[in-house]
Amino acid sequence: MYKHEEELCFLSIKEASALIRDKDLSPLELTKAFLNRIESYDQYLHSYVTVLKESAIKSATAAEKDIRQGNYKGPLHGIPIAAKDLYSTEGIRTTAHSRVMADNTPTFDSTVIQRLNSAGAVMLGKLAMSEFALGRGDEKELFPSARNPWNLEHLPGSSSSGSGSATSAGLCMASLGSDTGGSIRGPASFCNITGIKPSLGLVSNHGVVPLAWTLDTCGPMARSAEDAGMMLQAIAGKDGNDPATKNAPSDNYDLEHMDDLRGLTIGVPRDFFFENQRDLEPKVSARVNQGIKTLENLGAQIREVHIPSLKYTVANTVIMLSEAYSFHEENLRTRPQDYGPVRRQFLLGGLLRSSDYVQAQRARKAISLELSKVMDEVDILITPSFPFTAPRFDDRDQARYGAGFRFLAPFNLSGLPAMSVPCGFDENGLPIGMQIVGNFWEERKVLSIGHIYQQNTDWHTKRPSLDFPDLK
Amino acid sequence: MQNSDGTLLDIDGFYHLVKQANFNISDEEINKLYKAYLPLQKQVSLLHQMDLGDLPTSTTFLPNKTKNDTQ
Repeated sequence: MYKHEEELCFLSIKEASALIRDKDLSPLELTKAFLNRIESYDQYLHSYVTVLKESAIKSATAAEKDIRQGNYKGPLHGIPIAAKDLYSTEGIRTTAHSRVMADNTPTFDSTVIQRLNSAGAVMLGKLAMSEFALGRGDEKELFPSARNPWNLEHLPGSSSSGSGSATSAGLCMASLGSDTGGSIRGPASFCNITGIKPSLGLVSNHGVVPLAWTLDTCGPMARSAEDAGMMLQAIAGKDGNDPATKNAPSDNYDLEHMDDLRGLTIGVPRDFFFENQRDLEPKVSARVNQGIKTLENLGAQIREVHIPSLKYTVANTVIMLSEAYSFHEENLRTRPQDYGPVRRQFLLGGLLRSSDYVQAQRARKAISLELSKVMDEVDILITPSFPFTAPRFDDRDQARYGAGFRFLAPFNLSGLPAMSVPCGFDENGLPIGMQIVGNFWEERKVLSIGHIYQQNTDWHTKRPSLDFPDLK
Repeated sequence: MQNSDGTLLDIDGFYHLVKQANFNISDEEINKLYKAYLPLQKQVSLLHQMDLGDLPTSTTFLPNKTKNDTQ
């Protein structure tokens, strides 16, 4: 039925899993299509640091056999995915994209990887990232930086750069990222995919190389809200190995059936996200406003909300750098040569005072309380995911790029679920993301609203051409 | 990471701070670190000026304040 690899590789998880379940699509054929595609395109994209060709074929063969024998495990059975290279994988090198961990081969799987394996997913490989999930990628790191499939000269976002690039380019059906200050949603925005940072504590961090313990959040990146929900279903929930998940609900992330959005109230914090933001590109503002209009046309009520404490979002940076320094302190002293430019950021964390850290935690509490009050009055918030589209690799204005994360980090501080969905392109053909933020544990609502938005727009269906000049 | 009066460290003060921290980095690297320090520290200073209102963690009840100051 599907003759071309590209058609196979751009099926949604929902489409592919229905075909696999009904034995109309072979998991092995599907996996081989992805492996071929990786071989063709990843020499340009550098989205993978490790391709697990043999084990992927073995897993896909096993899935095919299981399903043929009537042992269908569920919607991820036989679905080819990939993981950011900070998820521990038993017997497979896990480097966090750093020379510091170049020889690290874990003897166990992280909880999330275990759960995906149990669901029957096929692991295609480990994905590039910014070193230790900080910074924007640099040529001095262990592996080449992942490239943006929409334009190789531009960043794919950070830190889940390979996850954004590979998922967008059809080099995996979905991927795992992690988000400490926006690292799922930023790459999702830059690469025209859907990425959700779940509520803090919904997904286990066990076996995941940390950046900042009190902020790190694992989550899925996919090509639609519906697919992201299917991934989340497999990985979410309590884990005895991660006490932070002790309050995680046993929920299901099947999308709520919605014909429209009547009865829903959408809050828009215009003063922080739209007004007097010098770096907010007009096209980004216009596309996100158009997205809000689309939701309004579906029946949602739009209400402007004010969250003054958002101006203290630097608290996220202070907490992140302080906690990161405490993790890296010894290696920074004993193996400085093994770090790339991210080392400077970690050292800054070592210069912050305890009173800075405590004040940042106080600010975090204040921002969380203020957001909590606002979320009592609205169902979701809508904001731009990032003030501008993907910068060029040779644009070294680190301060501008770093400042862009202020649109994402408030929801790391508060722990609220937040998702980036595609909402258009700028004049250079670079993707723009719209952020949907929900109340604690309300991933289902966030995903469902994202889904109805995607049913009424086609931005998320756009694919990069991958028309590289010297592609054979 | 700043002077005791809350002002930003100059390069000399920063140099001494880094030496005290025993980071074992070159003078050239200290200069680069200082460039990254300045914008961050400006924002951190603003963070310390945040009005925490009646949060339990507020410093409203510092012992050197009178009862009237806290109202």
